[in-house]
Amino acid sequence: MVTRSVKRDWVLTEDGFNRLLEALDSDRNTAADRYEHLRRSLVRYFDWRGSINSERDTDETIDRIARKLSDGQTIEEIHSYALGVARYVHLESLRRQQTEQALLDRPLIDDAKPDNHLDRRVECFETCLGKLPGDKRELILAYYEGDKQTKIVNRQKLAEKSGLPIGRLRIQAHRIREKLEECIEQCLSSGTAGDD
Amino acid sequence: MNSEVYSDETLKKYLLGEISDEERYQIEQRYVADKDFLDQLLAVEDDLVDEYVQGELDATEREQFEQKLLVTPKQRRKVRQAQILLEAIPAHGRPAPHENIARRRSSTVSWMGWFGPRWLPAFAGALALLILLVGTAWLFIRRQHSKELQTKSSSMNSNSDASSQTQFEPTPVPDQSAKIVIALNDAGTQVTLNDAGDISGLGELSPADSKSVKDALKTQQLRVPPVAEGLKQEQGTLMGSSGDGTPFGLVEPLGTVVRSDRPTFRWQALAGAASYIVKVYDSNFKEVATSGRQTNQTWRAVSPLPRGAIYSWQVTAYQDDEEIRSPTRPAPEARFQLLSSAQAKQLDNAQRTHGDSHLLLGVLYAEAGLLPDAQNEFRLLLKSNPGSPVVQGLLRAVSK
Repeated sequence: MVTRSVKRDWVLTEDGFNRLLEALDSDRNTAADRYEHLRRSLVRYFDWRGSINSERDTDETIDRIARKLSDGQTIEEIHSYALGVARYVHLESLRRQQTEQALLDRPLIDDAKPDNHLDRRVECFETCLGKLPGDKRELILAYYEGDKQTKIVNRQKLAEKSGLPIGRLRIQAHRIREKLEECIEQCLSSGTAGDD
Repeated sequence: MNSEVYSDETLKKYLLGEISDEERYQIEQRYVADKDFLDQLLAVEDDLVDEYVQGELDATEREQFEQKLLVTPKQRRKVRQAQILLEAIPAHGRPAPHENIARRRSSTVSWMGWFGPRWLPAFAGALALLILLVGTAWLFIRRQHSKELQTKSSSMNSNSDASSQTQFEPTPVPDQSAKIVIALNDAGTQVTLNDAGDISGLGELSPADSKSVKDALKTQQLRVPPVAEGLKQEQGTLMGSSGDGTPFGLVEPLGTVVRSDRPTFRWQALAGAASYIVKVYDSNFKEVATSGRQTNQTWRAVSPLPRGAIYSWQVTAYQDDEEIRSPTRPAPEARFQLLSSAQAKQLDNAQRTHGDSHLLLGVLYAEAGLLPDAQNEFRLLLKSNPGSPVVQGLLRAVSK
């Protein structure tokens, strides 16, 4: 099977990356955080646009921004600029997806492992839950406790108990869930539910 | 950076693609720059996925969800993850079976305590009477049942084994002596077909779905509807821009069956064009939908189009004072067909009950004429069954 890859004539250099960090913030640590966020948000942007390879499209977007900076050009509004580049990358990617006709020459678009039996999923869930710090484990369990109506009441009580506005609690639950899902995915892919 | 407060409802609409271009851009600008806002949006996505998994979305939202958030492998994985969480979290707090027994025991003890010793003789007498009554009734029922069994088995084929009381089971059990001829990894388990024609591993299937899967496995042929085959042949010509009636390429839908009754149209940009208008026509060339001026190269029909019909579409690009249309003669029409209501319902059901079976979904998509979806499912099935000639045959059948 032939796997097609995106042809790139420029790759991210150390200089390009440093310039990108500088453009994000003069403080190196803050810039690193901002870079992480930019990357994460672009991945989501491509996911929500239906990209089959959001990581690749994000890398391409970041490369192009860094290249512009590396060429000595300035970018006033880096986030708006990034979004503009992302839009072009997405259109190109979409066009490529649609025109790749020869089915067997195309890369498989799902890198998911075959579905696992429910028992294994539950095993992985338990293992990953066990790896969470105690307070996070309790929060996520309490957050998803109960059926539809009870859940709403439970969450309000939980927010009161934790001294958080409900919106903040939801964001916290999301961040824990994201970690948990990441861990379960790795566990299912590795084929072992044991502690590693 | 804008600091507008967006309601969950607006963010949900953003995720489902039901929002104006301008508002979408505002939201995107905001989350690219604002970490908390991105997390808020992701939390809304979590809720939306949970609602989908728990069947809490209405029909329109469900369809929008499937169109927007169930397209890529990554999105499907997210839904599977939600299924795991929503199944495992409530189960996590439940007591283990031995704890239940202990609890039952302790409640029996307290119940006896409430009666107290002075009630014990009367209680023992009542209990003995109850046992006697239940015992008599049980013997009577058993005798009647035994008579029924004898009558039934005597009317059956003399070859039938007397011990095979499974014949009275509501669910047929595959013949254990039959030889397995095909085994595939699918839906997290092994799906098998034996030489008696029994299929197992897919749980409850409707007779029609069961027959479709069996036939597909046996013959590696799929009942692709003839219209879909006809549409498919025109697909390639319209995608690239050229001087043969396609000044700019159309992307989708082209020569395919479309599942949503509000299709999304995509086309390539024409250099210098300021805006575009999409027009959709029925088979009598009557205009059935129009986009109005668009600056993007994508538009989703605002109102549902009647299902089951064949449509064509054309895009007009506005470049200065010039109107440039694509496609025009001699290029073929850009046509597509909407999936019928019955098939849409059948697929919805299959996705709900067997959403993780690439085999079943692939077969049903092929029979509905949704060839790219069928190809995708069979490619995934091939990944779980590398080198399987059966799956390769199925893949070939939808890739002709």
